[in-house]
Amino acid sequence: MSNFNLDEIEKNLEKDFNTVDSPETLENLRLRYLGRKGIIAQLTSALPNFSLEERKDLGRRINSLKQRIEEFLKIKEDELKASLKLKEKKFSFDIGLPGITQAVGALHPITGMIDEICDVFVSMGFSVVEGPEIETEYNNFTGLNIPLEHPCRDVFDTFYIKSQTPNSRSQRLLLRSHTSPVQIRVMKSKKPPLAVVVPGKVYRPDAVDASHSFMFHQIEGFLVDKDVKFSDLKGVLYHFAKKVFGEKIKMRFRPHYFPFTEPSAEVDISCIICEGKGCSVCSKKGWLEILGCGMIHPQVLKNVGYSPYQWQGFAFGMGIERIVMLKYGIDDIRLFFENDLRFLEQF
Amino acid sequence: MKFTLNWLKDFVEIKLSPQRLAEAFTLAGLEVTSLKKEDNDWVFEIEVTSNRPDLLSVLGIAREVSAITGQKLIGDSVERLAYSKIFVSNKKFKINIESKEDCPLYTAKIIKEVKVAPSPDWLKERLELIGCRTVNNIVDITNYVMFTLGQPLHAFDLNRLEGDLISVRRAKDNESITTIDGRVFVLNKDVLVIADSQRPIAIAGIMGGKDTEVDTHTKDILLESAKFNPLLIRRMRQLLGLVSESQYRFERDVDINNVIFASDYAVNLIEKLAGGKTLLFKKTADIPKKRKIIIFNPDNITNILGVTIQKNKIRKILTGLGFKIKSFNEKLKVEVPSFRKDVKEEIDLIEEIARLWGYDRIPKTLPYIKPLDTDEINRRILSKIKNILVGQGFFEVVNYSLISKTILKNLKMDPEKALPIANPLSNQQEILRPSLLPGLLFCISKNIQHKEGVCIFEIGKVFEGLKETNFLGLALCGKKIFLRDCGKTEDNFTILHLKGVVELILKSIGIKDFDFVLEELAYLEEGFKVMFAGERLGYLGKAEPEVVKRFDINKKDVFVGELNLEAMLKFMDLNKKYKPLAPYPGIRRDISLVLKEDISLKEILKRINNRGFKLLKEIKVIDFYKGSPIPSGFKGVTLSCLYYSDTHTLTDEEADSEHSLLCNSLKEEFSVQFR
Repeated sequence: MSNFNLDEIEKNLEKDFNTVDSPETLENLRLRYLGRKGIIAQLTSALPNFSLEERKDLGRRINSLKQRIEEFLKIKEDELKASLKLKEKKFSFDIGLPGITQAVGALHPITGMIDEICDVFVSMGFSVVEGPEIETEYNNFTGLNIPLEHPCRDVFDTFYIKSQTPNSRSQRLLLRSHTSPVQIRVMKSKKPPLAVVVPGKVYRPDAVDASHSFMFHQIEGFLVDKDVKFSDLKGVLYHFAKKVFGEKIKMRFRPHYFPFTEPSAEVDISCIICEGKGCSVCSKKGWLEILGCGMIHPQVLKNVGYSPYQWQGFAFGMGIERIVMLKYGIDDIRLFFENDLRFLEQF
Repeated sequence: MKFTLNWLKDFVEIKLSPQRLAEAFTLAGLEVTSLKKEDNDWVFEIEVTSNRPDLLSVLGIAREVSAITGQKLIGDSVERLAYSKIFVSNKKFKINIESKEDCPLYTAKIIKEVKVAPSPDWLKERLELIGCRTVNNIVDITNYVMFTLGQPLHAFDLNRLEGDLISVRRAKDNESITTIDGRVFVLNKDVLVIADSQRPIAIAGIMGGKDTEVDTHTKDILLESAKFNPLLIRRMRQLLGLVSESQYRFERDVDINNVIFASDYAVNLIEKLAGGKTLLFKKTADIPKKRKIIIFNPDNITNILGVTIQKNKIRKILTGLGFKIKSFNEKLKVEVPSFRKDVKEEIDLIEEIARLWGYDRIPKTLPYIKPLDTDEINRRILSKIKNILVGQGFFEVVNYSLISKTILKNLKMDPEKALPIANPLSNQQEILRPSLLPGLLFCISKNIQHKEGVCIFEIGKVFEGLKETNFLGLALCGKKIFLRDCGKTEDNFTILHLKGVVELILKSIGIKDFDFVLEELAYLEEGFKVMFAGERLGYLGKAEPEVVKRFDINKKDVFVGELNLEAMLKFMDLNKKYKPLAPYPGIRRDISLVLKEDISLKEILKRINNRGFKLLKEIKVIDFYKGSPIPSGFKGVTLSCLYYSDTHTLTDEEADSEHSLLCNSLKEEFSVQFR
């Protein structure tokens, strides 16, 4: 029986019958399997070449194959009949016409993503808190261990509020340049343990171009408790990444420097376009930077009146525009604020 | 920071491939932003964070390689650099430091009879590979030493200096200098300069003067190596708008222990490549010997990282980075090298250990999280409101909170009342928006050019003085679209479409007895305020045509409204109570009537409700009509009244008797006519 591969025939059976689209193709299949010189006939005629033991087994298999073929023939025949009947039926309308609905709008992709991300953290037990966009210099910088005049502030160029009355330096008002000042506010007003996420607008005086905007959105998150560890930070962020970017996502923590966390890290995810193989979006690196994080610096804990010997915490922050741009393949940040309906309709 | 592989190999043996080395750098926190093969070398570019000025040198990076790979620094390569012979001459030469705070250490060497010429090829190649322009052997050596050791140097042409004096002082008002890049700076007392007896010859730490630069005519040089106050350099950079590789390093601070070492290395190279004799060495301060000691409990590694790292591994990492472990008992006594100013306390050592041990080797765990008592109600309610709006066909927009004064003037709002930004990028973003309206009208204007109908909303902060409040803004223009995919339209939007949505939203959060009251607003042609419990929740209305025109919206009505979300959330009432369904069938009677145009249906419905008809359970407006055959000055209305009793099936007589009472009262009080 070397010229018949029974396994192969059994495997291809269903595939063969799925190609049936007319009575003619069905009849051809019937002949091919059950015809006088069909596959079953050939298999049966080859049986005597085998030992008694083998014949028993093969015989049983051939029989069950035959039964399956007959079942398939029946099913397909019924299907063909049914479809013929449908063809004869007359319809009063054209299903190609557009369906009638109430026109629906859409959420802005930024706020949609904020909701999605907040929901993930809320499901883990975090609370959502918002803070003011006008902040004090203390909350935005000094309280977060960012010295007022230091090169590490250069990434945080800031809009200041023109004030009528001169304030002391630390009370000078500004538009927050990140969502981290809400850390200071929440920690000063509440006792640990705390698990909070903070979405919101932030402002930096950057000239507008395809990848810069003077206003954008961030989500900040932090957790303070007795024995929060870096390993917890990794676990929480990994859960977040899987929920937002998919189960297959890989994550990597790179050491970095932020004045308000120590140890600090930047977090990359495997490129969601090329899955880490390297493409133009990830500059052939296979990784995309999506957030910054770390263990809250003991100085920051001291600044809000927590004892760093008693409490530990982690914090993280991410830019929403960047995440939305990566997720939907948007290449120009200005699109978010131009609000062209042809753009908004797509989300 | 750019450097090449061969340059790095001067200091440390490297067995890794360039790609593997780049990955190792990145995972140790020295993110490689580019790696290119050039000629027989590899050029790396890494991002150096502002806390690590020690990495702005090839030697500093070599130290990291040593800590990453465990490969020791090539010791004599470092020591060899320092070799230098000093010939002390009798020459009187003075260095005056005006303030030790501005300049904690200044050193000068005088080298005579150098031969200024192009640099040898190896030197040129290295500098060119990292993008540094080559000038001549002396200037190139100062740059080369800076990139190698991180200490900026400057060479002056000694014979162009006036008098045997260098002073480091603040500039006098209106003193000026032409820097080597040809720019002229008029200085003042906020700028620290290096001066000879007559004039500034360099802007300290940033750039030398053109007059005294080393060129092919130069015979004798004065080599400066110093440390300046980083904050001062930062302010000077901001003031003058002048940046340089040297300024970049001084602003991040240099290692005082490196100042003389770098100068010695430069002299060494100069003597080798340009000849000359060192005749004099002067310094203005001694180098402090004291080192910072940190007491470190290794148990805290586990407390912070959630992983235990073996003691010998800790020792290897710290010593590899140049830390000295003075004692290793329960607690470690760690001496911090002078080039690691960023390491101040225990947590900084933990980070060093974590990053070199490898962040990826730290496990992932999930913490126990105790939910806060604050409830999520506001977020849920906002989400509900947004979903209702989306279901009604509204698109959410996000506009900039910073706007121009002009756009407010176009809206007939007072721009002087709005909160101004002290340092705007342009007059397009000079004030904080006191209303969502400018953004909404801008969006309508942009979209109505290619859409038959636009309806949008925005939720965002508006600013009134320093007070910021979340508002919901709504805007409608053009036609209502009811078949989304083929854009088939119904009627034009009217104010009733807007009113309907506002009612829907308020009712959805349990605000019921609100009222629309006429209100005069400069930017509205017809406006109403939305009142509840004596408080104004917001407004809605038809935008003033002139205002609309200023936004380039032509021949179209725009309907706009803004609601104070915080006030709404204050009044929201989410308690619901079930009302039993009517147990007996009711009877419906319709009335068609004609009434004077100036009588509002609001009045009629209010009056009927107040009269307290017992059987009347519902009254609603089901038709409204103006024009022929209704005479002008009048309007036609159809009211549908539903009567039923809670105790029995109503008879026609009962219904008719109450209905005629109602009709009579309408006739008497509003002199309506029935049709």
